[in-house]
Amino acid sequence: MPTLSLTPTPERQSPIRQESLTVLARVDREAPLRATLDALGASAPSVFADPELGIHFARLVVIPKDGDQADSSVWLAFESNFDTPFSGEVEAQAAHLDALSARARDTLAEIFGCCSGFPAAGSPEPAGRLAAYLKAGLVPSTASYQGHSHRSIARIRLERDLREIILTYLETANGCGPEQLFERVRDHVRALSKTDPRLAGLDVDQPAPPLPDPVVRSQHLSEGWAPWIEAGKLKDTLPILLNLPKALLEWQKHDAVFDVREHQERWTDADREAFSAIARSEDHGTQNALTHVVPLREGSGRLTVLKHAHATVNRISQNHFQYIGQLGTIPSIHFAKWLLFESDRRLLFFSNYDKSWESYLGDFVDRAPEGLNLAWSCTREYPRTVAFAFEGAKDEETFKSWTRAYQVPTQFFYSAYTDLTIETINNNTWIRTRLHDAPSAGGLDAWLRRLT
Amino acid sequence: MNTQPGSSLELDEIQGLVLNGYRHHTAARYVMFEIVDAARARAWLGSVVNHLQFGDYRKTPREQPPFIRDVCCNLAFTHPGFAALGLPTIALNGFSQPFQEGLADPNRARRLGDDGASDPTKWAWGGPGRPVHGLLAVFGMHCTPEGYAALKAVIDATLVEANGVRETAVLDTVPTDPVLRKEHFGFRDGITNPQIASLAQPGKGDIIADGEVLLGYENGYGHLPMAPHVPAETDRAGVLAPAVARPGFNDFGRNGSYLVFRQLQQDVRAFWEYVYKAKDAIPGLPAGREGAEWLASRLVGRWPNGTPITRYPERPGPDAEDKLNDFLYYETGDGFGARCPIGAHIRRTNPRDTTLPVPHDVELSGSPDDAEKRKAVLALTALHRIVRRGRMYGDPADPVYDLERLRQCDDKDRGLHFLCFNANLNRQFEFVQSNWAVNPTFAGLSRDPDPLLGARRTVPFPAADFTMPGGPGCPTRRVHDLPRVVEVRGGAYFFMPSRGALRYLAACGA
Repeated sequence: MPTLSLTPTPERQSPIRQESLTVLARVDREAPLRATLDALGASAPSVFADPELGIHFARLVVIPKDGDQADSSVWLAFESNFDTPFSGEVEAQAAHLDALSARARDTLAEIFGCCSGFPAAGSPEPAGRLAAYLKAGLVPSTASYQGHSHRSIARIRLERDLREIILTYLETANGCGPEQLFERVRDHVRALSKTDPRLAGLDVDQPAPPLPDPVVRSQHLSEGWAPWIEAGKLKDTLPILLNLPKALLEWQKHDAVFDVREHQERWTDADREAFSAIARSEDHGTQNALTHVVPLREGSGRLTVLKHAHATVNRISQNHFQYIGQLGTIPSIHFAKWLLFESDRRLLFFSNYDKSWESYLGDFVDRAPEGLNLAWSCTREYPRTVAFAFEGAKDEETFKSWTRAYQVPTQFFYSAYTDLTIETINNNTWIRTRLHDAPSAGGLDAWLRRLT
Repeated sequence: MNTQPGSSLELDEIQGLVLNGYRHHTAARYVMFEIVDAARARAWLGSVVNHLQFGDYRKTPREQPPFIRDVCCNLAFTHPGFAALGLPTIALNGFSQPFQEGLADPNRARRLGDDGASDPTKWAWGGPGRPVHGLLAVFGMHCTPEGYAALKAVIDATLVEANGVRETAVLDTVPTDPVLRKEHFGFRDGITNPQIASLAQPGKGDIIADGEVLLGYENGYGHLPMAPHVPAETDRAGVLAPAVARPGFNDFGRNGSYLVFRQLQQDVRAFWEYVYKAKDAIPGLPAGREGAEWLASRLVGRWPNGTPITRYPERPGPDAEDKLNDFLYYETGDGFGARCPIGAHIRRTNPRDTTLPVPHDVELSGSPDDAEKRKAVLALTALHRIVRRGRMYGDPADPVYDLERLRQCDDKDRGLHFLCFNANLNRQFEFVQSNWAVNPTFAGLSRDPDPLLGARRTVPFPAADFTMPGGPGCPTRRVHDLPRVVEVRGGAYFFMPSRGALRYLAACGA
């Protein structure tokens, strides 16, 4: 049984992996909740920065009602992407909620106190009750992705500092051959790791901590088809899938799609304020949080098809994309997930991405429209797709406007490393790994080139 | 490709500045104005439209009429300006969102790096509470006192309260030295500008789709950019073209372009003081002027005479104008920045064939040896280009841009009136500024902002390093503590409408 404690273990020895959870709760008192979340954003240091929690990114979002559904609710969503020593999702999530309930109890009690069914104040064992409440609100994702899997916060920070130490050394190093330069860097790091706390636990004479081999993992790419094949064996989904080609043609022909002009020409002050609220929550650090909520399209079969499409995206993501640091060919996502809520009628998407929204959405359009079409084409007003996976997001202005129209502001967003992009994290790991396992002569040039 | 330049553009409709920087018109003055009486302002518009310079002169060889005018005038409006003139709400809402919100919007300012002394609240014009409605840009052939007086006379005769408009800011320019053609820091400028496809000379490489600059034409994705429409019944004179695939509406945006105007103040002394100091920390660099020129050229990506570092890493190349823009990075053997650093100003604002997102991570970005990959990168970077039309203001710190004298120059106000045209503010100007220039993590860098435009912005985090990737026998070098050498002193987003749109405005509300 692994221990929960994350900090004292040298990063090299702990088999830490990343896990994610989402808790949803119906909101009873929206105004005080929003006020609390605003105050939380202004408080420093964040309770989520507690090293014992091992949180990479956390967010709290108020999700408005779906105005078209009489029985729709306002929801609070809490997302945490965290380090865990547990190999199973269920234990990892339970342990993380236990830790949060113990270490951030007052904060979370105040926040979830605005939500439906929260145990009244003064109850005995408030920590245990808080944890039980949060666990009851866990919602599984339909598909998810990690951009730098299997690296703990400690490791990410160590590798960032290591790269900085090497670059500082190189600034004044004399020119010499790459082999000699590499050995001198290694000697320097070896000596410094004995005294510099930034390098605590680093031993370049031991093998680098292993990461799953991307070549091996990419062989699992074909598993993306499995959900459709497995589902074909089930009696109730089989008719829907057999009917799929016909349904797709129908949908392609008749589905209402987002009309940028129609929406934009009707913009009111309320719409402008909504856009402004989203913009206010963006561009405060290297990473941004995108929260997107869209209802499913009407009609039978949508949910089944969406679940299968997501299972496909998820299989490929878990077995391939996570190990190459790209979702599709999008290189700028730390953590992303989709999940269904409100009786499977609404689809929620969370993404922790690098740089500006325009750059991120541009990546969607330019690099991975097919994957996005799979994920979203069963949702309301999505740009017209052809054969489910094609076109769609390629319609640049429509796709970007659709995304913005269904985006909601992220009230609170926490990042453990506001200065690091996925690209930098993965590059730092590459540099560090080769420092342990000396690269071949040809690889040395590549190693030195990575030090940029 | 169109072999008859300009034949597919409606040149009579497009204002000249969109198509041409008027290089031979060496004198220029920009006047910001406010609309104080809409009815008079509309009448004034109607009377001046045909005196503005349009692109018709480009239909014929230079020696045949129509000729370009001796004094070229162009007009553009901000979103509040169009509202003040009475443009219908449906059209006001049809403009792009950044234009509607304006350059001074605080969320936009944060993203574009306009903080500290560059914060819009501190701008001399265009900031909150100091809105601009319109821009009159006037260009003359003679940069003499008499030439400028003639421009002033044109402006003073037209921007009067009797015409319903009032001057709010007058921005003068200085001509670029016709031989040196340098900007204030002492570097040859105005070299790289993409050509609009329909006007491109055959054989020139740097070409973007017409719709990357002009509304009403296909953009780089093969779509028509979103453009404001008006109900056809409001266009009583029938001066606008019908909207494509929308009966009952006319296209107000067609043949117009979004104009970004930023007054960028340059601190010439701070730049060279820094360079002279920072060079001493780099092992093996020559002392004095030679080392300073070397380091400054890495920061910019060109030698002061304009020759690109990637082609001439050791010393400035011959000053042959036609070669200054005719290069790619990988094809010059510089895929990873060992010659021209990835973070250099000209490389990050136009990465050309640099394999983004991270050139040095070939597993992620693909190998630059792959010709298909490079082609794909060029296609992607072509979606983030702008057409620059800027001019200098303030006297040069030294007439011949001698580095030693620039380093000790005075504190007079000098800089660049940065103007650029594009059809999509989000994807073009704002993308280049926020994701390429001021972003310290551009192309796999860690803490390196644009050394000219972006140092020490508070968002996403204060960054002030500059990394020069190593090559054979030379380790990667870095310098630190870059100063802020450019501050924004004013700015606005304008839209430069077509002749028909100006005539429509003149009749608006009539």
